[in-house]
Amino acid sequence: MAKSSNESSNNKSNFSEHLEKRLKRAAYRMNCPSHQTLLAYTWNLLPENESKAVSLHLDSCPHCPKEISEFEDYFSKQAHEEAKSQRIPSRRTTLFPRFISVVSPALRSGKESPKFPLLYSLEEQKINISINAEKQAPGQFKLVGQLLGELDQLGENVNIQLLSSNPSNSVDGTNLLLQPDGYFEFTNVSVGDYAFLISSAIFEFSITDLTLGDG
Amino acid sequence: MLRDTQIRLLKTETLFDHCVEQTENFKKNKVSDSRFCYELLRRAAYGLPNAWALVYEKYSPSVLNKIKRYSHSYGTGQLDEADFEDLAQNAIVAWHKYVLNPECWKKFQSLEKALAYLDQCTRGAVKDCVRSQKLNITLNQLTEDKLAKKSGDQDTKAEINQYSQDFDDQIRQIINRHCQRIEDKIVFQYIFEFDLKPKDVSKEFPTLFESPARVSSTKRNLLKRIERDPLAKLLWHDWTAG
Repeated sequence: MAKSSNESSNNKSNFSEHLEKRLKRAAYRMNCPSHQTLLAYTWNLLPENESKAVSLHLDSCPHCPKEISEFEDYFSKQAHEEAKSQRIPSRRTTLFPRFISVVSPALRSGKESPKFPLLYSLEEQKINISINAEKQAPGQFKLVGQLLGELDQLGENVNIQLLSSNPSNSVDGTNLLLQPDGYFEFTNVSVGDYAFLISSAIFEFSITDLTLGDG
Repeated sequence: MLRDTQIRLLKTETLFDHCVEQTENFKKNKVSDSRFCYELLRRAAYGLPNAWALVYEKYSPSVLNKIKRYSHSYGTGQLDEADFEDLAQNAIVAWHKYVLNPECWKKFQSLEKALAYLDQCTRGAVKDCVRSQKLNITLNQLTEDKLAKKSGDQDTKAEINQYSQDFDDQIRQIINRHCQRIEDKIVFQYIFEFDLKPKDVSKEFPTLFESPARVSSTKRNLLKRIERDPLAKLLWHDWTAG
């Protein structure tokens, strides 16, 4: 009898001890809307009555507004990324073709022998650049380039820009449209460091390590 | 490059092939065109034949992979393949419910937006799982012996789900019975549901609780009343008896 009374008292004490913990565990956010509902609420996709109930809940809950705010941050960041990708479309970032080798490509301008034919590769595209001395203007160069590969993947109106690290360097026609056969040509280019920026509505990449020197 | 009108005229199956191809290009960092996938989603939103099945085929594997990844980072504990598949299903169904219908689709003007929403549905499915596990931990302890005998059994899972529902209902009954006064309701909601401290509750409701001690004494009294509740005693018996 005494043993039974002790057991009962122990049980009661355990009960009190654990009740609060158990209740907290069981009741924690038991009335909070699911994440899916909060997400739909953020986008205003819920039916009116459900949306009102969520609004009412948000007035008192300390947790759900934080989640809404996390969703808003995520989508605002995503919208920012999207807007950025529309300014520099398709891949969002400028891609840098990899220099492969010095070769002797068969360029269109047969008269000049290419001095420094360079071959760059970017995925399935290859860019061939030949540097020739201008016969009529000593110390000046002509750059002849050709894009090889699936040109239609680059979209329409592919623009080629030749950018000089020295603003006083003069370049004839620094901004060209790529010809349908993939060729482009810059004339009377002075000694210096240059970059090519090749872009279209859906693509942009650049070659940044082009140096023209007397040697 | 196809024009928008030409894409609209493609067969859904052809559109699906293009969509798969463009996704591969995107993954390999090649030039890609999102219009094919967007058009496939648009057709699913407007209920065109076969479109939803193809959308499901296209996106469910990546949702499943993400579920596994997020489960690891959000700490769901051990889940089996069937659990992962259930969560992936939850995510994709929520996406279908809230995004892929004509009314809601108007808000998703780009593929990026629609897929960002899917990504959040995927995270949401995992977070909801973590939240429900807090209750299931209690229930798993409760049915530990039963689980040991027939772990992984579908009937046991169904039993636990039913038990979870019953348990929730019983907790609500107890709470409703003992939280008649506004002070009790607030204490239960803010201390038990929201897991706030007495000082936060007192700060939030200074006219009802002039000090944190007042919140604590209301909580103590509420717990004492619940202790005496026959249903709570019955639940306690289950907790301890297993």
